Amino acid sequence: MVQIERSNVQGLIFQSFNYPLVGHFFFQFPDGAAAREFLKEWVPHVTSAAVDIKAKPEPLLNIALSWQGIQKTGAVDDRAGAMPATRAFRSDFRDPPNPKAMRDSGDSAPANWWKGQFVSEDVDVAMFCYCQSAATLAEQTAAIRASASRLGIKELVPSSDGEPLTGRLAPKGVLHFGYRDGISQPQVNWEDAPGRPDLVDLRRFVLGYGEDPNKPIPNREPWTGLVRDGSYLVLRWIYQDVAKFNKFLRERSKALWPNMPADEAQELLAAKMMGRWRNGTPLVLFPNAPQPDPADFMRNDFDYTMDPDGERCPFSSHIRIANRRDDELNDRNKSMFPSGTPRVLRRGSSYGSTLEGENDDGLDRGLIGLFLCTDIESQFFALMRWINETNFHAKVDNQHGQDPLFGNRTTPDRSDEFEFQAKGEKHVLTGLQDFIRTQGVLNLLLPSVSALKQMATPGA
Amino acid sequence: MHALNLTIPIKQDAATKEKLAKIAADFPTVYQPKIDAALRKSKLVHFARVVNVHGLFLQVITEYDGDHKAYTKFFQDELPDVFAALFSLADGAPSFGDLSADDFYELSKHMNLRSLGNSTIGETDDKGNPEGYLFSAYERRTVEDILKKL
Ligand code: HEM
Repeated sequence: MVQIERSNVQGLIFQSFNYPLVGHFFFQFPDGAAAREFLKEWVPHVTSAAVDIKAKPEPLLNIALSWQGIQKTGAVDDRAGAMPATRAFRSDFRDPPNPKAMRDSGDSAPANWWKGQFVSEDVDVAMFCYCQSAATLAEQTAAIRASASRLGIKELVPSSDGEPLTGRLAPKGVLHFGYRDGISQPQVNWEDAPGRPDLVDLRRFVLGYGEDPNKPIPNREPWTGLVRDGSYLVLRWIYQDVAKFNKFLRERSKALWPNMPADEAQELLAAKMMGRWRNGTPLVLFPNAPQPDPADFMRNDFDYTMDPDGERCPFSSHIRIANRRDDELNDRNKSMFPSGTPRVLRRGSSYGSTLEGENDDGLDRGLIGLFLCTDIESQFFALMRWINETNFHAKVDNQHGQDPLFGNRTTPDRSDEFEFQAKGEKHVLTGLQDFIRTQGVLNLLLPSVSALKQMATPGA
Repeated sequence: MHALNLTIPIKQDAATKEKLAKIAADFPTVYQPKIDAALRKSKLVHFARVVNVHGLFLQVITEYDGDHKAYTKFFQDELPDVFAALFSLADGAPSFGDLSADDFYELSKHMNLRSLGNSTIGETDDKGNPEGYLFSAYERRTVEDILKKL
């Protein structure tokens, strides 16, 4: 049994920081000395999982490094050197974010990322600073920037006006496109209690405790010491085209159900695409209408046993792809995921102003997704593959289908058909569109507090 | 659909040549049934064969669907002794047992020769460059699509 020392784990691993504002800062170290000085200054401010955030202390700070960033600190040389480290860590983490594995093609291709201001490989360190007020965030921004500039560290800002990428707590948890988020997360066996198959093994989210030689990686000293109590963090910056989505919903729902009141028809189509009504109510439990009571709409105690043919919740709806629960995988995926379905912890925030209607105002808005896992390939990439190609399921007929909301329509071989059932009838909706666009991806390590300290002072 | 042209350079010493002869002799009874079972289960591979190129190279040639990287691990897990035997012939390859999923992928990527020409359906390699040309009379149909129609 593993006993995790919470004060050694960065807080984001254990919980979402649902604060009104979060500043995302990205930096490139000029050299090891500056990297270490910078970490020495900021690591003492890192919020660990032992901090009680109920009283809303601020700011909350978490720090993540890329493979290049870790190398620059000297932590790799300090252990066994770059060559063995390259063998010990997987290429999913070491290499620049793999557009093929995530199906980031077309407008979502890396050439268009970060508003053209930098490339993912430039980023050595990312800081996430959660604040209760704009005043605190402004103060923190100034302090972080002053420290970086004093040490000659270059800030990488993905905007032309110098504004840092700032996420906001979605009002009532409702994201652009109008869906409530923040309902389902893996229930983790943090205590590592035996005999709890209902909970997800903590080794899927906390590195350094894997005994299985195949995963997660690294699983050998001296590298386990560097990653223990940390997690991989994939940052995915996603633009959401609200005007396009609203237009699609209105036009297509009207064509599907001409005799239904327009609002009702739009809500029904939106629900079928997500697998939950926009207020959160799960379709499996309430296929006919969203429920007004939070005790109903926040429900997550369901599986798909009661909907084996996807009559209520379509097989390719977002939540049925992103967490297949008890749906059966086809044979190859069964052997690829012997310990169950890929799961990730989601710690994102929304950004940009709310837009209603179908006239685009040209402003940027969307989601800054932070996805935590211990195996980027078989957890995060697997979900991205499934979102873009529904060929994992034992029952789904359309092997080329996609998540109707978030699939990238430039994926080779994809089908633009969304098959679903509603009110006892089968429908095939054609002409799915790109409703989102990837604006940047980073593969990072969210190290333990002690590993951050070691990076700040190698050899200490 | 993608092509695998895995081309393993065979070490040119007497012991390796003997090993190769043994693998060839055992192929129908030992390796073939295992390969058959794994490929059938995968529903990913259209066609597969192993060719001894005049004792200089061993080629594993397949046409398969989907993601090379993701499925490498599937085959590594399903066919460990087959790949161990094949890689034991290779010049300079580490022993199979020591390979992580990642090493195995890197090695197979390194030994996979690109076909001439360019993919006509927009398939790209890891770096976003077009894959080589591959003709298919079934266009984009996958193994699963085709099996369903039979
Ligand atoms: C703009 C992009 C996205 C939006 C707006 C979005 C929104 C949502 C919403 C509203 C839910 C349902 C609420 C809940 O279950 O808590 C959800 C669930 C989920 N999403 Fe996304 N999502 C996006 C992209 C992604 C991506 C790229 C992934 C990839 C890993 C992902 C993974 C998940 C998972 C794992 C769940 C939980 C499903 C469950 O447990 O039933 N999402 N998402």
